[in-house]
Amino acid sequence: MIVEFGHFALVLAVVVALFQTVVPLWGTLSREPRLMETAKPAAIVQLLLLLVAFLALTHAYVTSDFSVANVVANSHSTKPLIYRISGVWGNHEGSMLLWVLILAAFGAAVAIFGNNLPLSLRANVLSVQASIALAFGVFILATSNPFLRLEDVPIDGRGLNPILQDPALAFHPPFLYAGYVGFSIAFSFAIAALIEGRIDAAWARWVRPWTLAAWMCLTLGIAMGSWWAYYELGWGGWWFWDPVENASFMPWLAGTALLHSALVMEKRETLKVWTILLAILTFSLSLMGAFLVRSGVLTSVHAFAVDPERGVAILAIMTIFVGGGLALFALRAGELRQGGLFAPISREGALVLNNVLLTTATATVFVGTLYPLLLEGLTGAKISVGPPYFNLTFVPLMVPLLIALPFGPFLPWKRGDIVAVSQRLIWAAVLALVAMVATMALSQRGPWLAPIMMAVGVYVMAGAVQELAYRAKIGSAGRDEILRRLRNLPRSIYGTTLAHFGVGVMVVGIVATSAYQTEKVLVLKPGDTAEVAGYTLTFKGVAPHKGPNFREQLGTIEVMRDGTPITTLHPSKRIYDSPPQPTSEAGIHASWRGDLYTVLGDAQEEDGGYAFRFYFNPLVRLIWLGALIMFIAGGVSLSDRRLRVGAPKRTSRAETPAGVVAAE
Amino acid sequence: MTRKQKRGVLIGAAVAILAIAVIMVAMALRDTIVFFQTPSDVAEGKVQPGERFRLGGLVEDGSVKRGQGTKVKFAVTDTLQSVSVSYEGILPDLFREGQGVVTEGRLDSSGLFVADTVLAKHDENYMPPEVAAALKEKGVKLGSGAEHPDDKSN
Amino acid sequence: MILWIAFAVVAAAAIAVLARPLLAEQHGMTASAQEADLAVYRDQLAEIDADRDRGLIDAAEAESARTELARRLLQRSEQSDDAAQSVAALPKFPSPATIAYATAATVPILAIAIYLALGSPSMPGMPQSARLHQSPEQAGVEELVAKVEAQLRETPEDGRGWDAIAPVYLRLRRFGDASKAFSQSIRLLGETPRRLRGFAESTVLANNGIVIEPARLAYQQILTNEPGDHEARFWLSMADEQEGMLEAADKGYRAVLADAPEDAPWKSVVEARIASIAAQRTAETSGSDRPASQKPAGGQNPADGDASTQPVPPAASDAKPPGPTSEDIAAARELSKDDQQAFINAMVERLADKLEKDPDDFDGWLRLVRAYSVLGRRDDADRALVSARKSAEGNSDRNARLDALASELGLGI
Repeated sequence: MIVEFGHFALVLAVVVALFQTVVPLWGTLSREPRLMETAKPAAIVQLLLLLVAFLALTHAYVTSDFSVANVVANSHSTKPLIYRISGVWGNHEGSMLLWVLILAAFGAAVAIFGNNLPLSLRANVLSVQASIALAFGVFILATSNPFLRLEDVPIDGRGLNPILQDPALAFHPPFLYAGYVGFSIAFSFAIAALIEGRIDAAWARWVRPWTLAAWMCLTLGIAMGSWWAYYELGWGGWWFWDPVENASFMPWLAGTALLHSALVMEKRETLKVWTILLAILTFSLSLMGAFLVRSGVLTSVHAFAVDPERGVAILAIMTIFVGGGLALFALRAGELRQGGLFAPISREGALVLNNVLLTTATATVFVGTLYPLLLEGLTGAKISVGPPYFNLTFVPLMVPLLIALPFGPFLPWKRGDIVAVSQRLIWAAVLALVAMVATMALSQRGPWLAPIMMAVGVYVMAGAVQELAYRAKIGSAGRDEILRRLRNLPRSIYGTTLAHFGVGVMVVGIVATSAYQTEKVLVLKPGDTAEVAGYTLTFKGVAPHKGPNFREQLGTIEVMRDGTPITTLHPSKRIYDSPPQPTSEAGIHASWRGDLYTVLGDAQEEDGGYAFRFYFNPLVRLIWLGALIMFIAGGVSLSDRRLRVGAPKRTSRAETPAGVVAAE
Repeated sequence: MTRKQKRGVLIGAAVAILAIAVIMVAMALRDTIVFFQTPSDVAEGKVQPGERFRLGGLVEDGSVKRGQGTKVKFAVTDTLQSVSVSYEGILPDLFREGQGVVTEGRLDSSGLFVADTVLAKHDENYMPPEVAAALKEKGVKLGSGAEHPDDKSN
Repeated sequence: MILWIAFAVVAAAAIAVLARPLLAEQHGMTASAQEADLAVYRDQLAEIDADRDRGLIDAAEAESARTELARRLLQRSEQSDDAAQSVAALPKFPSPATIAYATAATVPILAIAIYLALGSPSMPGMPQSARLHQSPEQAGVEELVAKVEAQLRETPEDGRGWDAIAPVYLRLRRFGDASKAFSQSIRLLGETPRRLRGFAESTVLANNGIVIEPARLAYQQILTNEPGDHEARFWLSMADEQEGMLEAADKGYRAVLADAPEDAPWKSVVEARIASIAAQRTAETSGSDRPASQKPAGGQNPADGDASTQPVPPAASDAKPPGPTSEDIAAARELSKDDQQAFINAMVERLADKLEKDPDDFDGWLRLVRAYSVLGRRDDADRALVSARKSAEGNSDRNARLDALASELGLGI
């Protein structure tokens, strides 16, 4: 009953999306406000219906309703509750439902908060948004319906792939989708602007916070995925340049560029055409990510069950939206008016450099991800493009970006003085030099580039702090003045500073882990000890152990450092009950210094020993800490009144705004 | 600077960066890509010793021999030809005889493939697509060894 | 019915919300594009002042930004929206009210039509907890079994659970599970005639009618407890027959027959066995060197006239795996016990035929060797072993398995 109700709600939501696609757009084209007005209620109804459908499916999972084929295929009654819930989106059908739900949620948010958007813009945006929901809704109903029932109800489900039974992965997809799908708002705004042939002043003000929200979610989603891969796959690495990772990374890079170009557009009404194009491209990359992951053209540890038919359907959807968007762009971009002027050395110039580097970097990732496909299609040769390619192309592009990064916020709009800014950054440079020398002193080995890159990371961090110090006049003003200034700084400035600081933190983590990782593979018998990066590891033995839905061989390793016991680690090899599949669980000791990472290997047949793989990953936590800082920074920035959605406050018009705003 | 000059500087810089990137991409694609080969390709002498490539196929039944410590030797076969592989390290959880596997490394002068990476996908029924395609090309029918009682398509 | 009412309510509510703006009185735009733009510019002007006051930008910068904004503001206020819209407006037909009525008509029809094509409105939800907590009369046997199984996963040492589920397994033809469950209940709760009998029967059935050693021991135990037991004596004789001790089997069968009650329904079964042994003995003396696979299927049992023992025609069995199919097992269960022997023989012949056509099926050979050996047909078993060797050629793992099997069965290598 609940399942069928959810199914009907889904069907009705798709029909409502059809209505929402056609009627408001017809309204703007015929200039009939009553038709345009329908966009708002339609968007909200669509969200509510999809919410009902999603909750109904979740209910089926939680109660283990094995009359639903999707539940049978992906759940099991013995699975812990949290994984029964996360099982909803741990599979293709359910995750598509989550995808359209988030799509509708973004649309409804525009509808609810967009009361002071021009009516026709709102109608067009919601109409485009609904057309995306309509396409994916039809896709779900036709090829991936999660509500199909089984006549012959089995006793139990087939279970969820055990490596997906993990807290980080349980919440990785919702964030990732919120990121992917959030960029649809930027896309819808871009298409709406192109339909109208005119960009409203509110355009960038609106696009920026939504892009920021999507970017935040994507940042966190990617970080969670990377963290999961780090501790679950047992390979000691955190990023593999795997096609599916790249599929989420490309929209992130493009979205980061969009975030910065929208800033220029808002402040200076320039780079309009470019920003519109970037908005289209960012969402196109999100769609491509969905296509790559679900079509099976690329394989990866993250990939869903593949079905060529679905791949073709998603490819068709992608072609319609990307092709349609770009065609409309080509047709209409010329009509958009150009904005203000700026010198190459200026805030705008810095942001253009940021955009050029980020989009070029996106392009290198794009080539590296799709080249194998292209080559196989053309010549039949099968190749793989691995980390060496990305180290040679992507990384060199990041270096100038990072070096230029602290300059940006210091440069004034229109025209800047690079010498003056360089002088302000002198302390950051000094700190960076100190970090470089310290790195060289602490480590005898490692690539020559590593200390330099460590210096770059520290320089980015210090540059961010220094910007704040400069704005607060620390060093030149009195204490009260500094505090007053710090209080008065808009939150968006704090957001910028924090986000850039996070980038620096992440760079330090990445460089330290990549350059100074220790790896040891050896065989230990119970009682044996090993030395890894200053830790003494004593292997105590392996014992069988039973978990809620798995059995495991649990290793015990005592960790000592300078003679004092630190912790006991339990790397294990698991076999899950359903489906029966082996996995390795790493035993990890995390500290600020770095992670001690232990993996249990196979038993040696002859002497009762076990193979082990030990890693020491120095400062690896900083990678995810950096991502978390960026996420928080996005939140701080979003909370700034000026960025808050619904931007132009109509009431403040009558008053003398300066005093009011400054007091906030 | 005039409006035109300003724009010229910007466009020039952007084009320069793009050009550098294109050169880097071209160089990297020439130097870093790794080809996928089957044991038959190796037997036909398509690969020179010392050249890095990916070798894929099935782990030959009965070929896995553990050596000192974590050294292990096995043979990768496309059922027509097989290549001996040596590897030092921990094999992936799903590494099993008769299962699909992809290894990356180099041939030494004696024709032994020294692998530094061994991949077996986290899926019971996983047959690396390159392997499946290559085997199909060679006209090899995948026997009952690839079947598992706990079929699961995830 | 409730479901359809719910559908109707939801659809009606959705349509009402969608149609409301369409049916409203004509109204002006809430925010014209021009007004909205001007509001943004005024806001931005205020922000510039605020930034200057905070010292984020200096006075000169603020002044130039103000000038720029003021210019935009002026420009925008002179430019009406219609001039900005380059596209000619489409006709306002159909009217909003018409669209509202069309929506009210099409949305539910479309939704119901799509739903009917995809949904299963008559199917109730079946959450597992509800299925497991149904009263036993309502619950299907399978649900009950699942419930007990779930308990047994938690407490595998619960003998009563095994004891309860074992006969159910037997009835459900899950012979392997039944055999395991009976053996668990015997281990945990001790032997009773019922458990022993159940264990022996399920074990035999799980092994396609072959009385393997554990089953034979169980029947012997039953016989020790109840010396006259007909069933145990019959199966022990069957075990003798399968091991090739035809004389002992013949004697056993005759003894069973001798003290059988006059009206025992199984008497004919035992008689059939005796006849079958007689036939086998004749065959043995006349031409035992004929290859097993060339014997006509079921030919060893000339006494069987029963249609149900006819082997499945080879054409039908071609596509199937060589092992017994579920229909086979089901059929075996339907048969009376003596017919099972014939059935087993037929099945073995079918396997032999199948292997003749597809000699690469190594597991099939293993099964055949074992079956012949258990049936007491040593020569056939040896021949099958030779064929199995061929299919194992060059495969050390397979050869090792064959060696193990041969030594287990005591066959020549």
